Amino acid sequence: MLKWLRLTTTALAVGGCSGPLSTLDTAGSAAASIATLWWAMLAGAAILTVLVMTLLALAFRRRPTPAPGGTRLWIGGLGVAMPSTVLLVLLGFALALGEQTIARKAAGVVVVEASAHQWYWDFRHPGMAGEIVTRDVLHIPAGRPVDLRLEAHDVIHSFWVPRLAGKMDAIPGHVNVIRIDAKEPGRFEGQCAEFCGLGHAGHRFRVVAHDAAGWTAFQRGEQP
Amino acid sequence: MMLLARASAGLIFWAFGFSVLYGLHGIGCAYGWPSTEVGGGNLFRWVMVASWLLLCAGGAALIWLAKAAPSGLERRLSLTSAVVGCAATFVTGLPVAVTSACV
Amino acid sequence: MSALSRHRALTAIWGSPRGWRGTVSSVNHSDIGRRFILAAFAFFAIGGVLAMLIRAQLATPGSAFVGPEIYNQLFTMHGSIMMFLFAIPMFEGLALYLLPKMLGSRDMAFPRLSAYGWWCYVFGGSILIAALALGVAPDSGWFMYTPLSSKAYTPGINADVWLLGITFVEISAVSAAIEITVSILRLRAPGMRLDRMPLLAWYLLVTALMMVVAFPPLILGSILLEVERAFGWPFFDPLRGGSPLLWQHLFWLFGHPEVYIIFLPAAGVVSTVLPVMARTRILGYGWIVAALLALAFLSFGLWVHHMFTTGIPHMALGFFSAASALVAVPTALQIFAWIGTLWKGRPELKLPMLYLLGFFVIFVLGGLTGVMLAMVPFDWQAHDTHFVVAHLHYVLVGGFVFPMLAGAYYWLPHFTGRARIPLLGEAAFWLILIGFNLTFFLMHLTGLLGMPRRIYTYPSDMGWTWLNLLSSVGSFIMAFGFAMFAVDVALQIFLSRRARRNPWGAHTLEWAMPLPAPAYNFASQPRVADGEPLAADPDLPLRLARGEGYLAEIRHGWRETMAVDVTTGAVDHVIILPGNTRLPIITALATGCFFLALLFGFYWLAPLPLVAVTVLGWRWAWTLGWREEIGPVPIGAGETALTHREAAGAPGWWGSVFLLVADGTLLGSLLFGYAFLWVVAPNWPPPELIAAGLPQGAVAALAALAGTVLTRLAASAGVAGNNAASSRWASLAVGAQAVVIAALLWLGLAELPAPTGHAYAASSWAMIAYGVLHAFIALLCAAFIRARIASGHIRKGRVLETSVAQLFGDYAGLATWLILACVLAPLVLA
Ligand code: HEM
Ligand SMILES: [Cu+2]
Ligand SMILES: [Cu+2]
Repeated sequence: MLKWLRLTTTALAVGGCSGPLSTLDTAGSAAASIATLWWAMLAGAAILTVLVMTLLALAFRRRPTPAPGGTRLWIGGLGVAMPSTVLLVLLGFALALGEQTIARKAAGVVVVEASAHQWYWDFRHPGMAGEIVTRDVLHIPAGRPVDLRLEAHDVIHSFWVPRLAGKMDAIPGHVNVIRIDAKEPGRFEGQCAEFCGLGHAGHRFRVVAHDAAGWTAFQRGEQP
Repeated sequence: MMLLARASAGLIFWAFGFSVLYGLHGIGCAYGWPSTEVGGGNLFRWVMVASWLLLCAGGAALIWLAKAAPSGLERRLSLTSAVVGCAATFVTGLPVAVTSACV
Repeated sequence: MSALSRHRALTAIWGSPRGWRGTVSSVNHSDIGRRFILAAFAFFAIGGVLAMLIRAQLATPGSAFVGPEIYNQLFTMHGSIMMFLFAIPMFEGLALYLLPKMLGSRDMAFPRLSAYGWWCYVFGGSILIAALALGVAPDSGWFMYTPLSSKAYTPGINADVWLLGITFVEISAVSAAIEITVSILRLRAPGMRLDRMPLLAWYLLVTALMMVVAFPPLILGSILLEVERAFGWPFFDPLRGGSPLLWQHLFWLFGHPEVYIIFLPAAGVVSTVLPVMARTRILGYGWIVAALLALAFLSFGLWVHHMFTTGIPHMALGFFSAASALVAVPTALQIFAWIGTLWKGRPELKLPMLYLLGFFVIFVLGGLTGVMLAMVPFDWQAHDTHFVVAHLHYVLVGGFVFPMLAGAYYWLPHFTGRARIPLLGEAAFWLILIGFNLTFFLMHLTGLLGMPRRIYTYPSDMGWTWLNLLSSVGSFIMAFGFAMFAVDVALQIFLSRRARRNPWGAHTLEWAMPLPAPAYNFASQPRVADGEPLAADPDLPLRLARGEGYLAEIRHGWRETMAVDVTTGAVDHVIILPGNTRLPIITALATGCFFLALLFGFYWLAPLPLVAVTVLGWRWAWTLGWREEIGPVPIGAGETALTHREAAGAPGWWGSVFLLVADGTLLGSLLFGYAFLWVVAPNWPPPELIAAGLPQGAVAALAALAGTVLTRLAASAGVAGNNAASSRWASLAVGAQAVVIAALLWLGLAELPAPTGHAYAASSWAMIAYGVLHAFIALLCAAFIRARIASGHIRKGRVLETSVAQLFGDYAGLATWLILACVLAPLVLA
């Protein structure tokens, strides 16, 4: 047990945030800014927790005279003004971040069609000579924004490559678009994130981000 | 019952305004309002921002009306309800001014 | 009359027979409340065992303990049981047991309805548990997303079990909601103004009102999905103009308010127990009530935060993200009001307080992660991962289970009349607290490391292995804690010494009675002049037992309790409640047969139990009332009041109003669905629209108007004592409603395309069906008036039955007009 414990703590300390599906071990701009948001919110939440717990603990100390503070302090100040301010700031920050992340019109975007099935993914990439179709492996150029047009053929699935960006559902009858990018070439794991039946746990795929030469080669049809 | 009605008035107003904005957004996107140019902006933005501001004005008017409530709990509830309704209309409508239309 | 002989006489009137006779016929709120609580705890245990199995499976990577077939049933049933069979019924039980006692009343407004709700809950719950035992339990997740739950991808009975079983159980939720609302508004001790009500009553009032409007969207969604599965009406099938997103909207329109419906009663318990533990009054009573109302409304504007990843445009997400952030403010207000209360008083670390501290720690963390998830970009990452599993348990266990445990220890002396055995409860507390945090705190990390929820297994190279193992260890520690709690309670019930009358020195009325509580609660009802009646008047219990309050006099073996004015609490009238009867259990059985017939696909058989339910419903109303003239009766202190049959605004009328509010929400949801499909769903416009039908529409509209007017005429003639005229108008109203039914059906059959072809036709048909059903109900009401005039129950000055019939008549007319407008709109617009 002790050995386990030591192992766990060291693992947490050293590589705690890494992992093939870790949202904190980021490799894409959307994931990176969301991770920043997370660390900021974590810090804020920690401060608020400490504040509340301290106030709570102080209520139990022995006091000779009646304690200070009526509804003005507890309700007007701490109950309404404080959270409202914090929340408005956070909300503004998050809305701005969301604006940067969504698939707005932009130059140089690569568009890939993805279709989700029980239980595999088909990706249709733009090639030099027409579409290039792959199963369970998505190819993208590194350093460029890529829009995935998601559709589903049976039930709802969700496209998620945690190290690159957030997730987006693939819903039968609707087409959803998600923008991702990979800062550097590499391989990234993807996982279906919406419960889709018996094969949900294994509904995985992989993203291969190519450097410029690799991407041209891929588009020429030379499978790496 | 009057007490409960007064105590809900502002909040009901928020619920109404919220539904209006959400409904207009759905309809506007479905019928392509963002691509209709009107007076230096697009139709979608004009409609959304105008409705939002109107609703905020309505909320403010409700606060003014709520001041007439009798004293005690009834007054407290009517006033807070109106203030919360107006503030919530402002905050929940804020995205009409700062976010992109239908993406 | 001495206190003891009054006690005997009242017990004979309000009590239930011993043995199984009492079991099947009791309608007493204390009995029903206790049963709800016990059954909910049993379901909690079952749900807990399922959770243990889930954690056993996830303890190690690649575990071969169960496969996905079983695992999917495990988490679906765990979630559904905890939400529908544990949390909601537990609070209903608490409300049924406590409310009348805290309000100084003798029972709830509709005792037979409580019993009916109880039986529906037990029978519906049993269907689900039986399915679990047979291995055909629902397996599409507790929110049952289509198309996964549709016929094509869940061909078995699994999804039907959920849709029908849960809908059956929801009958009890809606009846409890109506009953709680009316009881709080009307059945209080005289003098208890709204601003003198105990805070728990405010919490329950707000919760009940939320339920009245939150459950109908779910019930509608379940009906539509079941109809799609059974008959192929394609509401959610995108190939035929339906949309899977419609289900998500309907579900979460219910689902988000649902979590506040679970939290608020528990917060009410905190607001009740905490000041007593701190020996002071709550800080900011009025502010808390205001916060509750704000919370109730705002919580209906959050549902899309469960759908941030469904491709809804960012602006619309922004509305809901902002509302989700705002809702944290009234919650924070309560947290600081409670802490301020502790500062104001002298808190003591008794066991309930210990659980309240656990609540603070856990719930605050859950609230903070909730705010994080309300931020759209973060949710894009965290959605559907174990981070969400952690968050929801911090909120549900922290915000519901911990306060309920505090409440359990606080009120147990009230249930049992006995004191606690020391230390066992403390040990249980620490096990639960530590086990809980070990289990779920780590899940935040597993989630951030990318572990999705609802996966039955995972590879070992993901970095989740140790976290999961520790989570599982924690969950078993927690399970031990809960087992210890159960043992503690059992010991207290069976072994412990007797408790003092008011062991905590509390000031609310439930402590103004002997323990354990007698069936009639109060030998006479108090007159309340303060928010904390026992603080102002410590001798109150004695004086009430001596019969110095209202309704001390016993007459005709009636179950009497006072009704007051909603706001001022002034004496209004005397309610005479129905006594024990088997009608509720029989009606629930008939209702159950209907659901079973649908479940097993015996559609031809289903009308039979429906007829039975109708007949029983008629009998339900018929057995009330009397023919004799009564007039004002003495109520004590030299005052007199009318009985509820002769006074305006009796509980039956109020109950009908709230029932119709729920019903109207259902209709509203249906119309929303129709508009939503029209605007958003793929494959629109439909191949075939309605092409004609104005004549049938005109006939239906006119007949509906006539039905409404005629029912009103019959009602006013009846109250005026003009029996012949009333009877004639009522007959004509019956005829008018029959014409409405015929015209609507004719319109559908002659002009609408077949419902299986396209969601357009399916939703039009659904509206027609709604109209026909309500015209039929209005027809029955009119016929009932006729029959009651003939039997002499309706006579001059008796307003109750006619006013209820008038309500249903008006509603049917309005609904028919709305439906006609929507069904005929394509025709008029074309
Ligand atoms: C007693 C201790 C409990 C444990 C150990 C526990 C454990 C779990 C776990 C591990 C899951 C995730 C399953 C998965 O995604 O694969 C889960 C899901 C869930 N739990 Fe609990 N739970 C407990 C109590 C509760 C309570 C008290 C409630 C509600 C009042 C609750 C409501 C839910 C819900 C709604 C889900 C989601 C089910 C779904 O995804 O369909 N749980 N629980
Ligand atoms: Cu999938
Ligand atoms: Cu929610």
